Amino acid sequence: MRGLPRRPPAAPAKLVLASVLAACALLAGAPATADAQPAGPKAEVTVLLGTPCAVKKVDPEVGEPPPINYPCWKMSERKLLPLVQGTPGTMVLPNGRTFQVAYNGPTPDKPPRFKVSTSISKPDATGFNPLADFTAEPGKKFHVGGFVHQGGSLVLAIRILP
Amino acid sequence: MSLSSDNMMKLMAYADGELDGADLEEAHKLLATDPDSVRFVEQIGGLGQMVSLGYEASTAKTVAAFDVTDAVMALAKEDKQDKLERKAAVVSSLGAAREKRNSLKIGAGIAAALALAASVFVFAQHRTEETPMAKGPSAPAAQTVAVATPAPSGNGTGVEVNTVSSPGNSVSVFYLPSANELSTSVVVWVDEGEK
Repeated sequence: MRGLPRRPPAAPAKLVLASVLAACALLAGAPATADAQPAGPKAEVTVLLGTPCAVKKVDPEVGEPPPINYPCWKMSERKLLPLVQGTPGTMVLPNGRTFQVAYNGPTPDKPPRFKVSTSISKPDATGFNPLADFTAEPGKKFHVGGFVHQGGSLVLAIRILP
Repeated sequence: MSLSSDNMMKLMAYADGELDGADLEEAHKLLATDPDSVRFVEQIGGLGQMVSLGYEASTAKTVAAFDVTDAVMALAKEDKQDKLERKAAVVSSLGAAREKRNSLKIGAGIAAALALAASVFVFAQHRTEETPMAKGPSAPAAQTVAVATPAPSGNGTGVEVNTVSSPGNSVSVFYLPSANELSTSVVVWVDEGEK
């Protein structure tokens, strides 16, 4: 026992090194991710189709379905619309109409809420019909729906991401 | 009360006027020595009197009858009636003690059933009020909070509907409980069918 000098444990040193490398990799990757998304708040718009059906079925992508009594829900599309004042974000819906979200700026609240106006293109595509103006806390979901499509209704689940 | 079931039966028979001879003497002895037996007979005495009155009436009717056929028919009828009354009296007497004991249980049972029914009703009403859902492609069947008017803030949804206006469309704002019923969702519903 006395003749063998005790060696310092190697595993903790390796662990520390690995942690440092992982942290560096994360820090290096973070700006790249941020570059991929435009800065500023965004409106996440999820287009859902609720239809009457015999057996209840909710696509996993839908998550929690809107509180509207359709037994079957599927997700058509999910899109992030950048919220830039003066430049409305638009997306084409499965029924051919265009949904528009206009950003009206943050509220002076702490933390701020976000004011948006929603509208949808007229059936004859001669402009937009306003729907509603919302002041929403970030991350809070709200729904705009009732657009008839494929025997059901399109419902847009919207939430503002800061 | 310390009466045995045999003594109770005997006393009931005594109260009904059914005892004679040695049984009657035994009942008298019992009444003379056991205060519980006296109390028991007093309790069922009313019924016993009623039965004995019926018995006497049937006897008087039999004596006053002139026509043999009528007398026989009347006797048979009264006898039948008497038997029915005796049966009813015995059943009532036997049930009297049980009835007293069980009356509270029955009352409690009825109260519990009413409470259960009321709670089911309230629960069903509560559920109906909390989960108004749309049926079919028309607007959700829920409370309309605002149409073309600012919706109230601070409703727990974190979303305030400022204005609603859509020329040519009927736009309604609904505050509906979400699927997990833990939160409320704002739904702006555009009824394009009313264009």
